[in-house]
Amino acid sequence: MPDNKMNDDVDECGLFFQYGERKSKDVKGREIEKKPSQRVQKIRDLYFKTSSSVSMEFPHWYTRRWMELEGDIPIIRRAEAIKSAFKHLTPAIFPGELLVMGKTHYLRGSYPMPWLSGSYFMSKEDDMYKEALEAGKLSADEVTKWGAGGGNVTESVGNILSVAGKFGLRKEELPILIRTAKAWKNRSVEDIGSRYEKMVPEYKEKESIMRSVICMFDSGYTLPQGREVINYYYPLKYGIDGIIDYCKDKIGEVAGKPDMDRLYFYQAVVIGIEGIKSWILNHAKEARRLAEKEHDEKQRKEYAEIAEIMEWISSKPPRTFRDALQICWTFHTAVLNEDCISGMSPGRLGAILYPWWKNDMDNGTLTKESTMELLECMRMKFTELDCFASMGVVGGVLSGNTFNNLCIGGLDKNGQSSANELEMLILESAMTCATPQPTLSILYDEKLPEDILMKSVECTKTGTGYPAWINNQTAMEFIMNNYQDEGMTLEEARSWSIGGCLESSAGTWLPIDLDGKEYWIPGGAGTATSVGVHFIGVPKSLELVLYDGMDPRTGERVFPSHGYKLDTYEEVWEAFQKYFRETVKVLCLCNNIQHDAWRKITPPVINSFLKPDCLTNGKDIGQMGSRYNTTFNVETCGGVNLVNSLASLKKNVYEEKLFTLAELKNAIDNNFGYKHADEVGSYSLTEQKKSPEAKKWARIHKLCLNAPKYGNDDPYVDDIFEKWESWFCDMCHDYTSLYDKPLYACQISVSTHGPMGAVTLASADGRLSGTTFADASMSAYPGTDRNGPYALFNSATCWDHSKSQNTQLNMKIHPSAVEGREGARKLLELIRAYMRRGGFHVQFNIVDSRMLKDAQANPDKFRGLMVRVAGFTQYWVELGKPIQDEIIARTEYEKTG
Amino acid sequence: MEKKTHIDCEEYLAIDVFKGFCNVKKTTVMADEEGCDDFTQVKKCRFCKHYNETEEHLGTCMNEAVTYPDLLAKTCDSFNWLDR
Repeated sequence: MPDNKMNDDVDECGLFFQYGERKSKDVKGREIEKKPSQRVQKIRDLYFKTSSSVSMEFPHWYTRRWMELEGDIPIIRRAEAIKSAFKHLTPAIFPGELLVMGKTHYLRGSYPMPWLSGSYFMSKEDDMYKEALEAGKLSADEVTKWGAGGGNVTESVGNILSVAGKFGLRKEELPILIRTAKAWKNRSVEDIGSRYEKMVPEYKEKESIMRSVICMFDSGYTLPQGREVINYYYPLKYGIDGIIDYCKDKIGEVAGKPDMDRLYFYQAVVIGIEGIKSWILNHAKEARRLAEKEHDEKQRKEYAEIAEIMEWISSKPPRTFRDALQICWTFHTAVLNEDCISGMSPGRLGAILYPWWKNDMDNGTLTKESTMELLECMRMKFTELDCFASMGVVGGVLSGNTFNNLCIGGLDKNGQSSANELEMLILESAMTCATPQPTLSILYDEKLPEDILMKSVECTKTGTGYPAWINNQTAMEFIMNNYQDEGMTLEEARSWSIGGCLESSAGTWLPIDLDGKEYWIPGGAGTATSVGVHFIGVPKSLELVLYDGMDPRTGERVFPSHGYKLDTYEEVWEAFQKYFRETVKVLCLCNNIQHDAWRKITPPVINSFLKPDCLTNGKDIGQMGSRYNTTFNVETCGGVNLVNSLASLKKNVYEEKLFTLAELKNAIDNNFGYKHADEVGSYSLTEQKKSPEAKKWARIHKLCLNAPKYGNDDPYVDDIFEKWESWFCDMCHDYTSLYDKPLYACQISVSTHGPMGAVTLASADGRLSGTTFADASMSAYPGTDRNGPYALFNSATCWDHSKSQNTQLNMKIHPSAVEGREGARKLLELIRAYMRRGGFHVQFNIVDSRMLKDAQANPDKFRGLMVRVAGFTQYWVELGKPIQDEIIARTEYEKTG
Repeated sequence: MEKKTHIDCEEYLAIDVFKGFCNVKKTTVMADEEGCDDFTQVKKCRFCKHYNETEEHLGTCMNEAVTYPDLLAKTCDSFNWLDR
């Protein structure tokens, strides 16, 4: 590996790297840029000027009804509260919209759910806030940095307050926010979960783990559902009244019989869906009202058409593609209103809606142009979604994203290519209306036709960062293995799709008959995978090994001494395994209790009746009504920095004895002679500044930087990588969820590599204190992958990716490297090469890093600029600086060969 | 006389907490700015007979449930205009 030229005289840490000669002197824009229809251009322009806004309607009516029903059966009480909230939501229809309805009456509206958790938005003086701080529940909030641009309301101004770092609340609604939150004190999932998780013997250890941000956030009350694939089948097949009739029949069947919970579940579904019915009819009424007042004939007709569609779908199954799309959107939003959810993915929408689309195209009531306009309108509705959660969750993890992943390609029920013409239009609309949602993934399979692959390459070249390229066969292998105890078959495994940004989720095929033709449509059949043990910063775990259980940042003891002298590399690895196991064990036990509190206090009603087989079993998701329940997992962050650090320790300290462990710790304590990232205001390695004592640590730092790095096809470090992956994927199975199912490995980063890097001192791989970890899980640490993409692929695939729910590889390629038809071909060959080696996922930022630097300095000029962070595409101006710095620092590939 | 601001008008369609769309003038207006002659009061708890203020920005509905004056009541079956 070429010597990493440390410029002794230069006071920066020069690690930015380009693979290949940069051809263009000037900053190169993106080759492909398309425009949406005029209608949607107007809607998007309005979106760009819209702020994230809090409405108190839903939580107010929910709380009011819940308090009235003290003592009733919990799931009935829950359904009644949901019904009251939906029934009272103020309908809003924005001019030019074809698809209507949103979470609130604001364009970009969301709201707190104090029945889950309320401490994080209470004022700092409030005791709810202080208790949460003490229990380590807000530590991630404290180290999270928001992007100040776009729709984020990061500061209070005039009559508008900034809440949870991003959302605007009208001042006159603060009293009801506080009153509603306090109504739930000691009744919320967070409070009740906290009360009983203290009964775990090692609970005190768990609090220290959270305070030191070894783990990013709790699970049961933060995002209790999500990173799953929704299922629209029952409303599409039976319509609302059909579902109500089905449940009423079932009530007659089960009333008075053993397993009485089925009675309350079916009754709860009737109550909940009646609320949605009113919500839909209120929008029909509003559309009629607007039509009567409207002078512009075209807009009047559109309001009348909306009213007619809403009246129809309030009871019956869809007649047309547009009916079906509106039903899917309505129930998608309804589920997002029921719980705090991130990553509720529409799944394979092109395969789901194909029957209605094909029907309308054949009978001439739909054209490709009108399809495109509807798909663009759909993109805007998904993009307008906001998820209200704590700063640490929404900022530190999600960067404000909502992760609605639409998948194309893959195989059908019979194992043939599932690609269709509607999916080609879905790709085209994602180019004409480039927005963060829904993000796209192509389920790559050797059976896919060339045209959808080349169309996906074209879409990749727009620089939006989607579609992500996913290995269909590797994913099916994981699905077969993980759900075999729950009866998974090969045919059923083909219906899989991606929940959230990258969570492989089990599905099922269900039949639709339309005009005498039978179709089998895929849909989610597995429960949430945003659950289990959230993001463990593994470089931080290694830090605790070097400091024998003490957190050097907080000075707090997190674990008892590990008992090793660390005289050998094997002892370091064993001590790490010991601390990592302890972390997973105690977090798993505590989170299981939180999830049990969640399913008892706020059982899901809407998502349950959508999810097979809850309706047939008569059980909600929390009672394992879903077909597949082995969905809890262990997430990690910073795996590549861990491996690079272990390689440096092994080579420098234990094999070549170039410095001792004590000397390394001393260098780490002094940040290798550099100022701290916070002081410099930069969070990647490319712009750090030396302090006057830098010379003292330069030798050790250079040796750490020059130690073998992952991503260069170097067996020395890749062997360590393979051992880490194999051990981690297997050990997860030793821990069980509250459903008594084994956990599995989940390897994404989302944006946690920012805040988790912020709490970690300098590391043995030469990374500096407070700087961001490597993103994703298969991405090299920025600037260290120097032998080209195929070397990176070999490193990434030195282990079996089907052992993990996912792996994630981000690459940054300069637009000139994939220019024109030949460039597109080369990019497809590159992707194929990785897929054929068993790589699970790869995605691309096709961008010139200098444009990103310009965008960082002049955000107003780049409001529409999007980049791929991890499993999501986000507006550059809404990203925090640590993540922006990290993306700029990623190695830029000038050539793909 | 209570100030007639856009946010209290039936024809105001909120875009976000700062601003909204006027369905009469077909333009974007600021929520807290004065309305125009076409102002029609929107249904809100503050304008309802059943609302009693108990403290600033908080009150009760029918002397029972807690509510707040600026809660839109377009979908509330029990709404009853205050005598104007």
